[in-house]
Amino acid sequence: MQKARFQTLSAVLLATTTLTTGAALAAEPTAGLTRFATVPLDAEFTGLYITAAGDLFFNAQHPADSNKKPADKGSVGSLVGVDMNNLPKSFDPVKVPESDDEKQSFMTALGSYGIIAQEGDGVKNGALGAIAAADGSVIVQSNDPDFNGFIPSVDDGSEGYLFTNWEDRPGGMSRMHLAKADDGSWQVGPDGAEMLDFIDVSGTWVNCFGSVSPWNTPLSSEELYFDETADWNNEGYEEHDGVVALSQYLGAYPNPYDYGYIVEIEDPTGVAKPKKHFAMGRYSHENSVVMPDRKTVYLSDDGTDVVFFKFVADAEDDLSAGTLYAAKVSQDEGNESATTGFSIEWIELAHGDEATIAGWIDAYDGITPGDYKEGETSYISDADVEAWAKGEAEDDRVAFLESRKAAAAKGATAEFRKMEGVMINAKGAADGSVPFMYMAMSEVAKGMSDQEGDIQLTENMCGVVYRMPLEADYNVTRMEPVVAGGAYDESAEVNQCATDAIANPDNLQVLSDGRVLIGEDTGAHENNMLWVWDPAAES
Amino acid sequence: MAMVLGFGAAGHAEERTIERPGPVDPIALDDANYVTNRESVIPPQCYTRFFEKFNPCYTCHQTYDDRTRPNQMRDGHLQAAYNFSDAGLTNHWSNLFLDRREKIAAIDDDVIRDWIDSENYTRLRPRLEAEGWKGWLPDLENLHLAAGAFDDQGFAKDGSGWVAFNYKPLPSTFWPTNGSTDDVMLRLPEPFRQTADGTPSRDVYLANLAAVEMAIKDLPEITTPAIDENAVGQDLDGDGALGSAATMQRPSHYLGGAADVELATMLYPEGVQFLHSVRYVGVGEDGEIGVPPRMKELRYMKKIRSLNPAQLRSIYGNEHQNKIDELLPHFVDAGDRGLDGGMGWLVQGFIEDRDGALRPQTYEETTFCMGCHGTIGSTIDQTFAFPRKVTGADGWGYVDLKGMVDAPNRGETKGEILTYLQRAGGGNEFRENQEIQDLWFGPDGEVDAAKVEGADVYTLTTPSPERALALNKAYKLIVDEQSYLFGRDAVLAPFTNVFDVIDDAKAPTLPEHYRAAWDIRLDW
Repeated sequence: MQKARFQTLSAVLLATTTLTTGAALAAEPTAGLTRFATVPLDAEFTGLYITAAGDLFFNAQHPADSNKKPADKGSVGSLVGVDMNNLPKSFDPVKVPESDDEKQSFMTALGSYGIIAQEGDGVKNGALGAIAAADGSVIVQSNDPDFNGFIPSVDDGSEGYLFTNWEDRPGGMSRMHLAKADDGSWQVGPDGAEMLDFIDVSGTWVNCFGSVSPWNTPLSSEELYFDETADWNNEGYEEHDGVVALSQYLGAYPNPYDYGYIVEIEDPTGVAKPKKHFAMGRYSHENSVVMPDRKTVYLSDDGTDVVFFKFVADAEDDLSAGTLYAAKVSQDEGNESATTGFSIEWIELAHGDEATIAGWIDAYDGITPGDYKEGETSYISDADVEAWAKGEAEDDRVAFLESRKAAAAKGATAEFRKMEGVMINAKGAADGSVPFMYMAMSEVAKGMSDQEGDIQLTENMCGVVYRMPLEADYNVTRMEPVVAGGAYDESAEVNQCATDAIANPDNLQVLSDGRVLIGEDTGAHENNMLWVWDPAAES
Repeated sequence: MAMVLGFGAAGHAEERTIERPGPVDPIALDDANYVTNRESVIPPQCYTRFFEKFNPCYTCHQTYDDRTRPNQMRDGHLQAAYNFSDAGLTNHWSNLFLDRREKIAAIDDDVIRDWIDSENYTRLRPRLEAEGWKGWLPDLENLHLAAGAFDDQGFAKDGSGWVAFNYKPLPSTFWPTNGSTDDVMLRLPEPFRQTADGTPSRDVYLANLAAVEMAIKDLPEITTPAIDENAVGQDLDGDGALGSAATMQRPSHYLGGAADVELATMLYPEGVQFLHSVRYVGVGEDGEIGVPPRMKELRYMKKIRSLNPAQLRSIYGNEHQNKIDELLPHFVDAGDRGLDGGMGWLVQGFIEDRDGALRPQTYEETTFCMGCHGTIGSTIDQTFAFPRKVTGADGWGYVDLKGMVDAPNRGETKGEILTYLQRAGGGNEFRENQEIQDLWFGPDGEVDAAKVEGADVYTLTTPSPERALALNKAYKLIVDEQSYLFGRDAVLAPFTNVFDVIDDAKAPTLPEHYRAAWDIRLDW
């Protein structure tokens, strides 16, 4: 196909005749992949969350201003009229939007999308997505709703609290009291909506995807995206703006080691108190997912040259103390990204607990740009990381505060590219009916395709979804590609990734029957898509 | 042109092929869903060599200490380094490097004079209507007449509400000596042109134009053509009485029918429209340089959503995140309405077809607009010209460079053009304007400051008739080829001060000392 397209275009260029063909590259469609929904232009699918009762929440993050109303604003909503616990075995896919109207709409294969609330809507203490400083002034009005987690307040799940991340700098989270109407749509209930106050944890940074723990607390994720802590107090650093916004929020210069963690919302239906879990490490958290043993946690790290982490808590239902591990992968024979898997071994980084790590963090309070010196760092240095890896450090702070560098120094694989959602079906994992964990890799590129190190795959700019069989004690030692995007056509104006396959997978949910929901965050599909993949089609 | 275009195996810098066919059919490429350049937002100017001291970059790339500025791009560091994605490392603007000297010389002066003096504007609207165009339709009568389409205060004679203003062209691509003349008009939404009860009122419109200028330039007061305060129903000059106002204090809200709209610092109200015609360089019988009837391009933009600084901070934050992630830019194609760059504006351009008639730009041709009207730090609400308007009453009326002083930028003392020539080390971003070099630089390569200081903007920025005609011919060759995708600059001889490929590992940076803070606004 590639060749045919090349020839066609050459003909256009050379002959300047009008072209009548021009269909996007067709890939071999992945078996079992069905297009389930699309979001309006320029929006990404975020906040995929399936409740115990089978409701599906999802958001349209940052849609285009030029979309018709109401699709021009960041939206939190649900799929109305569909029970995800009883999703039909097969259904007709939703079409690829063609008309302007379709492109600017929410399209679903089944049911319909119901907007619950939008960026800027009034809430009890301001506006949805508005992150305010102590003096009440709004620092950021976000159009980036992300993770949704629903905590029911009644047994049948028809009422409860929806927690939604607002992915910004500083970050935020809203809580909306919701009740399900007779028509299946969700409406804001009498307890209303509010933006949670994170000042007790010094605010948050880029609250991204997340999950709900087995003990029913939302686990938000700080996507740190600040790879070199040395630049934190470097005012000349080009991406310094978020730190300044955070200073404005705090009224003081922030300590970098206060950010980059999993944030648990304790007492979610009561006071909703945030707590940062330092022992699970500091990096660019996409999300964490707790296994049914209520102790083992897998954590993904978004960015370039990133690491896959695992945490085992000392005690059930308590993520404040435990042991942090990082994955060392060995690539199978071959290099084709769509078919080549890895074996995983887990390298222990360190054991830590909240009080100890908090003490280490406090040692960096009060550092400001005045302390910055070019070529040096006011924080943990690379030499400190090396010393720790050699066993020459006084303590294990490196493992928890510079976890990605610590993992690399210990020989873990720091080559993943844009590692996104990692997810299980909690019930299916517990009873063995869905014994898999899935992970989205938005792209197989950069460190994964550079023909160096542990991972040397062919580039796939449209991404891959991996599957990991759950073993004894919820360990995983294998990671295999099951859904790959493409074909990729870099020269296409729109839809650089073929529209009959995934592009840049991000949020994942696993259904109780083993099927997988794959949400996109991509510029390579004109309308971002939500897919259902059926593993039964593999055989 | 003995060139063959090979699009290789798609896009990597090292696979670049610089040969191309003479004629290109951008429409056919567009129909084929094909783009030649995923980084068309990086204009040719960005590939200029610093030679460790020349800085033409500062007029676009700025970081301001004032964090209340709505523009939070803060990209001053780009003055100093070629901070491109892999796709951007290749300079796709191959028209810069073609030797067209023979072809330019072969075009007769009379032929090019006839070309630029024939208008192509009035045919655009019927053409679009016939094509079922759903976007903006040209609705300013006789714009090809340039100043002739407007009255003395800049109001379009046709009553369309478009208003022309006089501004100093941005250094230096928009100096006529570098190939084009231009004009810019704005139009406020209808309620801004009416009294509270909906009656059209020129007094209200003048007051709102003064108000928007104060908002964009962040001024406390401004002069204005005389406004009858009784018609507006408000004491504008603060003299405690309703009469005729020649100055206006900055109000909290717009006036008349727009009284519910708050002024926002450095932001336009929703619904404002801009029209920008980019034209050949007109050459009168007497050798005078002016704005001719023929348009190279007609550019239109409309603000479709009012975004406050807190909303913009989130959007700029996402832009920075995408840069960190090394993602390529992408824009929403809103069809005939234009391209949506995500900053609250829709942008649509029209450009000459092979016959010289204006046609809608293709998707890729329009993405070229988004680099400047999207994610650079120096602009005010994505615009250049209006913040650079001659402030107050004197600045309403069609653009006129004659007698315009070389005002310094805000916060500076030396004239903007003088400063630019010194910083950039030449008469355009590429340092490829020999005439400017000969006129305003000494044999030692230093700017003759005393000479520059005595000259007006017209004298400083317009070419000789000979150069003007040659520039027009050079551009006409691009029209003949329809090769805008490979650059729109009028190139008289192949450029040598410009990289064709940036070697990421070895790319030079500009020493800190040569970086410059700069305000797009002028101190008139």
